[in-house]
Amino acid sequence: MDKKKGRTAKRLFVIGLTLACVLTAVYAATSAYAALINNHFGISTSRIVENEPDSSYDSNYFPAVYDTPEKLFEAAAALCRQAEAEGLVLLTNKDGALPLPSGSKVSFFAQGSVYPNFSSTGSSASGTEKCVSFRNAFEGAGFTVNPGLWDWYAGKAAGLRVNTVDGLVKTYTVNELPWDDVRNAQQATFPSYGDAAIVVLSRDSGEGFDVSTRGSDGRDGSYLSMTPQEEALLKGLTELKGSGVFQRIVVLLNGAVPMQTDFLSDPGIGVDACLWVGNLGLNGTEGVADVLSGRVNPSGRLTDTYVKDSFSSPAMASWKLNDKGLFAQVYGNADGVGLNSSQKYYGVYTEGIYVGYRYYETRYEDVVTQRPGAGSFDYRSVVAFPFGYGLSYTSFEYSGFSVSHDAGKGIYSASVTVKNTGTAAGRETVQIYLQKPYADGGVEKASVELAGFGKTGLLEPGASEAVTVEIREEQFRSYDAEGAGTYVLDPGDYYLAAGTDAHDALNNILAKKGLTRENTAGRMTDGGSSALAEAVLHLDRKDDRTYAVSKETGAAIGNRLDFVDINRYPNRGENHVTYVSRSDWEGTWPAEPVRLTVSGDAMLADLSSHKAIPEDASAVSPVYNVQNGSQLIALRGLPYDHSAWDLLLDQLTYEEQALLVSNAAFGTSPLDSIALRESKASDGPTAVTASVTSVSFPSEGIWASSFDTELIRKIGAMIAEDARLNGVDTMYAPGINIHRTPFGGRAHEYFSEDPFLTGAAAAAEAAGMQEKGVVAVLKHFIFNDEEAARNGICVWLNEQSAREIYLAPFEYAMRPSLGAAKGAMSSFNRAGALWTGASGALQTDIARGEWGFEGYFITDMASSNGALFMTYDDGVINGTDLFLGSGSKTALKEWKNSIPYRIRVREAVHRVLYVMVNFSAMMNGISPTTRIVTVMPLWQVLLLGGVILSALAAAAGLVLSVAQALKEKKEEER
Amino acid sequence: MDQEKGKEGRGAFVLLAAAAILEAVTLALYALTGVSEFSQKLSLQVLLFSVAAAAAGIALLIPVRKGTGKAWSDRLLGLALYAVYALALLAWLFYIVSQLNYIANIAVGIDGTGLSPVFVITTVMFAAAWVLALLSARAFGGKAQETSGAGEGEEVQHG
Repeated sequence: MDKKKGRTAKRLFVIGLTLACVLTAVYAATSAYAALINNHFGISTSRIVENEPDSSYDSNYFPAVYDTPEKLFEAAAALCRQAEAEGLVLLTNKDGALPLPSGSKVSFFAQGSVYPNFSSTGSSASGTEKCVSFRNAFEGAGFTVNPGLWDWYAGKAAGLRVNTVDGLVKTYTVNELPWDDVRNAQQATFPSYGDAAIVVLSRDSGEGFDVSTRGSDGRDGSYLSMTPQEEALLKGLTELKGSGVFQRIVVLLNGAVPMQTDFLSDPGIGVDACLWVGNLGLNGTEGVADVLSGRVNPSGRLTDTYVKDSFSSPAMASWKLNDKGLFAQVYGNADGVGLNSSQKYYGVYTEGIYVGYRYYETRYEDVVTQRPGAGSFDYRSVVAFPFGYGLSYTSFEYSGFSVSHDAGKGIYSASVTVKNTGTAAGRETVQIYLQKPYADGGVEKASVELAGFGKTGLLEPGASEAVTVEIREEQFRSYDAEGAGTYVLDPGDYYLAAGTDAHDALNNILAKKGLTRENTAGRMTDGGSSALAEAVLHLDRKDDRTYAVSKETGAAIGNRLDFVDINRYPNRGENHVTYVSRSDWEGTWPAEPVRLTVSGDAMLADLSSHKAIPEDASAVSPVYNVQNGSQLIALRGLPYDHSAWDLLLDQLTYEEQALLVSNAAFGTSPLDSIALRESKASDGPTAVTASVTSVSFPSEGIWASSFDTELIRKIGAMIAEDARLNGVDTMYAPGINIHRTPFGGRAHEYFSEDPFLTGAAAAAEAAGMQEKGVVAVLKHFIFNDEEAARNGICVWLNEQSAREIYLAPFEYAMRPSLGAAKGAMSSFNRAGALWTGASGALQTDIARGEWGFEGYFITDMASSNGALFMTYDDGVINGTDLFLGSGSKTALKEWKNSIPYRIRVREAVHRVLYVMVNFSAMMNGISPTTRIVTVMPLWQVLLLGGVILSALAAAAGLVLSVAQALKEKKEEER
Repeated sequence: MDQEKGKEGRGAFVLLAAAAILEAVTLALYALTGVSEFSQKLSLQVLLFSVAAAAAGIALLIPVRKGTGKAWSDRLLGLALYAVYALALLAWLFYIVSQLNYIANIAVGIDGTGLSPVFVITTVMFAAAWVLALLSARAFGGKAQETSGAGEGEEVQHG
């Protein structure tokens, strides 16, 4: 009996002990990720208590329109469909192939027809269960879809687009089904559904990797060129069209990354109409059907240049030379100096400002004007469709172009009358481009820059509408890093021109300068219209004063980014790069890989984390825990610098501040001492991740290609409504990095290759979100235009391109007088050798000092990526306000003794609370009489209970076992 | 019977020695490789638990090898061996906890991070240590039961 008891006691001990160990570890792990878990399951960690309810007080600061997922779904689906229809771009339409005749019988080809690209991976990932197929969309639009062919593809084409990962290289492949298989299996069905062969060519993109430049099954080895199977398919269909089986061939380019469109001019391929439709979102397929049926007349315009050779830009010429065809390269002496994987990679933007059309159009002008060094560049053989290009089912005529200037407001107003000269009602996008004067050896200038745009309403045939586009004087400035060290206006003529696309606008400017096809010996692709361009400003001398001071804050603007330009970086050693210059295209063209090394200890120190925090003997420590009865809600509406903020901040302990700053993974912690509840945040740019509504929108490029900021504002507002239904008050969106090359992995999350369009779209989306009480967190600040080795890669570029191309969209969206977004997310990569979240120059001096940014900076995912370099000390002291990670009250204790650090933590908290109380729906329901009580979620209570119970069981087993042993001892002694 | 008991005592001893050595070696491996781009510092818990497990295991080697000769004290010794097992188990569990950032990165699968040999080896070695400690405790428990069954006050020779 005793033995049995002894065994039972021991089992109790062992099982209890094991359970206690396991549950303790589980508790530790889950507690570290509590914010993520609570967010994922929608668990609240605070409770609202009303002390003395005041029924007259309206605490519904941001009313929501939709109160059920069903109502929102219906409205969002209508908006998604509209966005797709307004945004898709009609690239070719031979002989009026589109719209399709009513009731057409059509056949869908290629795997993308049945398995299209609805969304993507990473932060834009969204469920596709409710997405509408092409078949359902087209049948809903009155077409009949070849069922046999559809089912055949459905059975054969699942999962064909596979990719493999090897280190930094992700090799995407298409693996299209062989044409012979399609034809042999289904050709009997073709004649019955021959009104159109609709071919969907899909290309994926995703977070973490760039799209393959090599090793794919594209004709040139890249993922963006047509594959031999796709070529055979199109040639086969062309033959069948020739024999009368199909009436027309329509190609849909389904992807956020721009496919190389050289195939459209291939002999043997007879595509009648081609459209770029992007990633489709929930029901973008219905928008496509609307356009193909003629219900909607397409008015989208390209947001990226579509080329015949994806490697034709200087950025890709440089990238192509790199090892493994990757943007990311390894410092020559990385191993020798002991760099870890978050330090050893670099990439250089040698193309300077010549990104996208800024390159193609500028090189074109220099060839036309025979600038020395322009070389033998042939625009027609390189550019398939220029930036801003797009067709309509009708035609438009521009007249009465004029520009007025309001010096008081600092605004140029460009007006043009648009007349619908065709036979279908439609909308026209009016684009206004700027040309600044360029002199050899001076500040680099693109031949054209998008300066503004507008869109007509629906114009009936014969109807006209005057469109006026405002351009800020400030847009005329250029950044002169090498000379004045600030923004300047160079001497010469400044032109504004209307154009149907960037190339057309440039031709209009060239015409205004007196150039014609004739007097340029046919080098101009088109004669242009001098009536649509105007020289609006002439300067005799360089002006380096007007824009040397911020219009927003009055702060002096000067070179702040020498540390990002390897040629100006103080610790560069022998490193040097040649930036592309239009003064000598051929001589500065990337001819060999850029090889950089770590120059010495100083550069090594810059690459290292935990830099010394500068001490300030005169700094006065903030005070803590001074209970003065302040409540956050009472500060709503007060300016950022109101003295009441000091009282509130005095009330918090350092530990509470640390918790708020460090524990911001998809939300922040409640602080009951100031009646702050928890906030909840979500990815991502095109949808609320894992939304209860399953709503998702097309890729951002499609929104931007609508050139309709009101539509984009509505999408922002709808995403915000969706967020509200999901209990989310902060969206990590929009993504506003630049489509620097066609191969960027997150093209679906970014708008365009153009910074102005990107900024305007971002401002519109942020406005839409913030009117609903959802804080827009712009990402990724900054230079995160590629994905390879993003965790710590050093991105090097000159200050002019940094400011004019990459920072410009953020400036537009963050300046209080323009976009007024209230949040921004720093990036994983480095600017030069410094992690962007640890750059005071970027976050504090430029964003806050020059732009007057009123919001907060949060890091990218600090919990699962590269934690080694995204440190609390480097980040906070340099302007980071929140860490997207799992922190705690003790997370910042190491720096508690540093007064400058304490001051910065307090400022971070101030910024975060200012945004929350004024711009976040998380404050809905909080009144001055409200108390917030922090509660432990049930899962944590149960887990903790499990730990205690198992520990008690183990203890009981131990006590009984010991008692048994002592009893035996006594018996033994007897 | 004595021969059987002796075998079990030797078995427990060998297993415990292997567990303790493995724990110590893994601790050294962790100390050398534990700081990575995904974890900035060595985990204090891993260090504490693995040091305690290794030290306790080594401390118990001689008693386990020689035995106490008393059923009641062998019973207590058996419990102590389970404590070694628990410490080794905690070291392993908290190693996993310390690597969650890294594991999450692999699981998310968006940055190309793969399983590193160091992570796999460390995980397996820490796991092997607690498994060996557990087996040692069980083997010794079997022996202790035999001891108990040998009769009251009977001295047992381990050898």
